[in-house]
Amino acid sequence: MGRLDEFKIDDDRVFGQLVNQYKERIYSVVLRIVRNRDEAKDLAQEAFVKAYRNRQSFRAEAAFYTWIYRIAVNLSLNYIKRNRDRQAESLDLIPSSAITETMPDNLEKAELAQAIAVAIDKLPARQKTVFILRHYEEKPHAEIAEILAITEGAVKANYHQAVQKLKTYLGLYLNEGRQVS
Amino acid sequence: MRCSECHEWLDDYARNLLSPVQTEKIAVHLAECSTCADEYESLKSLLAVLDSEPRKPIDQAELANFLPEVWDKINSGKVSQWKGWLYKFAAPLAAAAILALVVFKPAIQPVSNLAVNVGETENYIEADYYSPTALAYTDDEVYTESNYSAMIKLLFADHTAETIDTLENELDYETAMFSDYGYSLDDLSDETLELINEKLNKLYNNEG
Repeated sequence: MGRLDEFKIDDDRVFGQLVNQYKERIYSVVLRIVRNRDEAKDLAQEAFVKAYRNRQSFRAEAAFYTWIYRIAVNLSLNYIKRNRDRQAESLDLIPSSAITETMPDNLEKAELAQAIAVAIDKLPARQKTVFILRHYEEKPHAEIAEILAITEGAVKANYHQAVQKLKTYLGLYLNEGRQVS
Repeated sequence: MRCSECHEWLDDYARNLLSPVQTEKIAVHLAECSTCADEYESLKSLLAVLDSEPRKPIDQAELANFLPEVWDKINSGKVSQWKGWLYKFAAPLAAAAILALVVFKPAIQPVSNLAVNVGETENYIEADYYSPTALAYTDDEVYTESNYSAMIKLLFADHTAETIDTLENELDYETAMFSDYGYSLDDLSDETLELINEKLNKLYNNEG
């Protein structure tokens, strides 16, 4: 068995291992972008399908997970484009326990999660994607640049713009120090 | 240390990702510069608010049957959206291309000139993204119809996009970016359609 990061094989067993290895991370980032669990699962699976069908064009020197991230992010952005006018499931990222319970603390957490989700959703697609990869996926600028096939300077600029906008959108929470612990 | 250099590393500093030497340099600058110190405080506040959001780990039940369903999709032989679009509009594209060649040929820009337009779009982020010049650009100025068209033209003239799949990914990405500002493939000119058609014909011939 070769290294899993060297996806230049036709071995379906290795492909299955790659899917199992990366499915959670890919699903997680897609869910952050599209904010709909059913669509996120479908898009994450579609990313692996595309990877499989185009495995011959995969460059051996590239990391498989960078490639699959890129496919998944592109599919997610395309989904956003197609569904711009459709309301996303705005509460999809909020733990159900935080909504159903009536404890004030949980209500405050739910309100904060909602405010953050809405704020991030208001960002332009590229800024939103860069911010999610940086903040939630904790990826370095260089890796984000590789995933999105843009320059590192473009990544930094988009991240900077996203941060400035989020400061404005979430100003109430920042100014009042309303952090939920 | 200059303020622009400090800003470049501020996010890494706030996340404790820098080396001890870099950390010390930033700390010294923040102690001396109230503007950067204010920027750092507001960044730290934002990160604190974001980090106080409850994060729910992925429920494994959500990913049950993930792999078998991937195999089902692979075996179902679904045609991707872009290829479907291509098949649907192949004839109109070809007609538009011929029309463009006949009617608009004198107006077609050499590909080398298109790079200049795109370069202008990207310049604001390439040089110094914290400079007053760069920050003077608004999103509305960057994501314009002409820049969208120039970007797509460059993409389809790009000799590094050697497979249909690469082209599809690039097109999806650029279109998704500009769609936030109301631009779509429907806005492309006959000239651009001609370039698209030429490139696709070449790729489809290469890939059989």
